[in-house]
Amino acid sequence: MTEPRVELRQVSKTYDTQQGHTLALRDVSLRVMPGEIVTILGPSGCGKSTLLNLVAGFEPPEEGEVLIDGQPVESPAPDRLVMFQEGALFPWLRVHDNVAFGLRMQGVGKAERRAQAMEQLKTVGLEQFSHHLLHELSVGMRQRVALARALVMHPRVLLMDEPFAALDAQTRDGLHATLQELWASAGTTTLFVTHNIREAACLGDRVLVMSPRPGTIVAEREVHAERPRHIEDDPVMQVARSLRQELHAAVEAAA
Amino acid sequence: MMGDPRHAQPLRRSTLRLPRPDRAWWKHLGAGVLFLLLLFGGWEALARMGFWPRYLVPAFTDVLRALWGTAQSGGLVAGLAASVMRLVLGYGIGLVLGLGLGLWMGRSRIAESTLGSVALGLQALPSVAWLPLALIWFGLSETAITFVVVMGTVFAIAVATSTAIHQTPHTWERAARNLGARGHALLLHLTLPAALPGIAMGMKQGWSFAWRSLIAAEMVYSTVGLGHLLMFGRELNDLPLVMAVMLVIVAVGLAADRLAFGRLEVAVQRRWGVGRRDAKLPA
Repeated sequence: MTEPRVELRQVSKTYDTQQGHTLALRDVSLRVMPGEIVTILGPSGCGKSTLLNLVAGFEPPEEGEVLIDGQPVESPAPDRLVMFQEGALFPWLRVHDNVAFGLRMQGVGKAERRAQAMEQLKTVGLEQFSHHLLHELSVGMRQRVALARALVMHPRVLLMDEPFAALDAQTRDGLHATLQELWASAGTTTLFVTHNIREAACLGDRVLVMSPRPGTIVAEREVHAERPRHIEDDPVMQVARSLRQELHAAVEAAA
Repeated sequence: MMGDPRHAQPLRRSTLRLPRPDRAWWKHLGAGVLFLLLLFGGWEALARMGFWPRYLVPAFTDVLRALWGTAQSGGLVAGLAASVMRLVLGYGIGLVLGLGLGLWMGRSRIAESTLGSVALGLQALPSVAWLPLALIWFGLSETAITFVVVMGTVFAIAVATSTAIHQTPHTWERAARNLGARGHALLLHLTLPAALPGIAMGMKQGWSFAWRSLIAAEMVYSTVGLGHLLMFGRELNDLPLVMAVMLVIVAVGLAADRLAFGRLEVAVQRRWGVGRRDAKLPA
């Protein structure tokens, strides 16, 4: 049996807030197999972003273990790349230099990183915009740049933190299509966090439902619909309907 | 499925580029020149009407004549040269120290909570107030004046730099660390460029502080320089000379802003996409 790419074992995490301790995650266990795409669905403030931060290594868990290919996570590293909701691109760099940032940090030579960045930009359809500044691009195009910046590093796992939440439906559909093409060709293991039920059903091989405060996984659902999927495909809608009930039950139980 | 190609321009390679002067810019410039002509014309007419004695309210042409006179005698050139040399030296030292101090305060919590409040307090102290201390420490010397200029510069730049670093979005640093930036690379490729718009503003403010403190210091103690020339005119009761030197001081300040600091600020803002998207060249 293969080893899981990402594994959380009974992870808990609290935060100090002005109201005192807040339990953000309680006893969360999950496994993501190599090449698998797992979406985590939960309402705002349920600790989904905290979960990604732990896998990224931005913060340590209080209890439990976070493992990548069996090794405990200690600090942030380019083998676990986060794609942030707001992109977090660097405005002083042109598009291709943003994409090449991680390669530059690894000491890859200028010509080589330029070539790799251009290749990756092609996969997201932005090769003509390689010399643009970020404020000259639309929000959707910027998220494509962020996707290219992560994938050019060939991470062992891609961590996506509601990356399409600020996009209009049409732009988001385009990014869903591109993302599924890239999964088909590169097979990148992905942990995708969202509060959008249909998005979770559309993108995930498996959907985990999280309850709010303290965040814990309350339901799990496999999605067998064929890829590429569209957010309004019937099988996706059917899964979304049953997920909606599970999510509501979780929120009710927590309230 | 692509986003909107709103800006499908040809490839551009320049690092920092200024907007090109356009029609609106020339119009703006024209309006400014016209206004100055009216202002000086009105001044000239008012002074010549004879409501007040000319030695108290000289005409604009009297001031120009005094300017020409001091320029021909060499007094203006010597004073201007001395002042600009002191300014460049003092500002240069202040810039280096201010950037260093600002980076330290921006990156270390302890430095921020200790030096930070001191720097903020000292920034509020008019830097000419350092002159008595400087005169006691360094005697009646160039060093004393340079010291005052450095003190006028350093805290403005330090506070602006550390503020800019603190205002850098948290996710930028996370993203950079995630992509493998550590230590010096993080400083060079994230902290500094992210703070550059704020640093540019601090450099501009530091420059104007330096210029003010220099003139003030030269007025209190100096044997040469524009500040000294001002006091020299006062001793001769030569108001046209005083006003001529004031005009020169304003002109140097404006020139530095328009030719260097204003341009730097606009270029950085456009590149970073912050501030006014349509930031214009200062006219």
